[in-house]
Amino acid sequence: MNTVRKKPLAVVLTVAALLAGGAVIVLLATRPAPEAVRATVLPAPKALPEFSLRDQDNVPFLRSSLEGQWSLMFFGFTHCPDICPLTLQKLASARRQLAAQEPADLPVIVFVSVDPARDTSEVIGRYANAFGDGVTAVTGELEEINVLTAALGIFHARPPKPDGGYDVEHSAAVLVVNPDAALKAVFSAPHDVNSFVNDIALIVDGL
Amino acid sequence: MKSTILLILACSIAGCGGEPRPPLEVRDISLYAPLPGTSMSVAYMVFENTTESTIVVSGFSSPQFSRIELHETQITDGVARMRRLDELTVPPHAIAVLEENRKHLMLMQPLPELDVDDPVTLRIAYGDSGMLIVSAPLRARFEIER
Repeated sequence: MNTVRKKPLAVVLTVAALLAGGAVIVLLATRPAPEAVRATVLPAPKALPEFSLRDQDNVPFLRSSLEGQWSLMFFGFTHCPDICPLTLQKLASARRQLAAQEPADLPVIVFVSVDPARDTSEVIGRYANAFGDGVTAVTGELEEINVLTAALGIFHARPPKPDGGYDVEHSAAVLVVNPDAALKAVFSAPHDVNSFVNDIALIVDGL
Repeated sequence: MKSTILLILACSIAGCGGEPRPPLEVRDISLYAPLPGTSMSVAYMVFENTTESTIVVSGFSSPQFSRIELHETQITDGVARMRRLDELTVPPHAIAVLEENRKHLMLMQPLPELDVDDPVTLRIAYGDSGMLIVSAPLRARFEIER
């Protein structure tokens, strides 16, 4: 008598468990994927062209120098007192926070000067040192800088000032380049550290 | 008694015995040392106009820097530009703010011996003949964490 009563209960419990498990699987499969907060992620990475610049140690900095690790590229100049050092400082701060999460995929910061007349290797080397570890500063001939900036959609110009000298205008974007030396994502200004940390982690993870 | 109470009330309203505020005040001064390899730096601060009239700040100078200019960072269509401004307008009973990624002072060519924590004197010219002199310590721009 008891055995007859237990069978329907066992069947009910089994079916309920199967339904619950199925519901969990469906929920997991259909949950929305994490999205980047600020970065624009390219549907297909755009390969960088060959170029020939040099870093702060006067070592050639080529397309191949970007291969093998993620890079966060920013184009500016050392005579900029406001947005350039602020952006680099935010990138450096974000990199330190990312280092606590996934050191195996920690990106490097690449600062490319668009003011090669004043930003010699020595100048950019001392400048980059202000932002801590993981910062490479790059300069070179203007024609070679143009090869890189044209491919990446980076604007820069040096309009003359009335009293002599010149200003430097430049795109304020931060570019994410993957280990295949291809452009993967773009952060548009204004920048903030939290967005860098959140989005870069997602992008490096395969977003 | 009544007249005494009225006098005390009148003095309270008029601020009797208190120092009048200067027409232009400056606070929250952040004045930074040049980054390594560079000869220019930046300063941010808040100006307050305590008067009923607009105050125009027309010039900045310092014995510790060869030149100081007022600039504004503008980002248009993703492009950052710095524009020199001839003056800073502070509306009546209002503030004008110099802050990151906005208006700021560019300080050029410091004295060679100037070091972090040294006091820097800022002379601020305003109106027809107004001059405000303030002092702030030179601060390191960023804390380097490794």
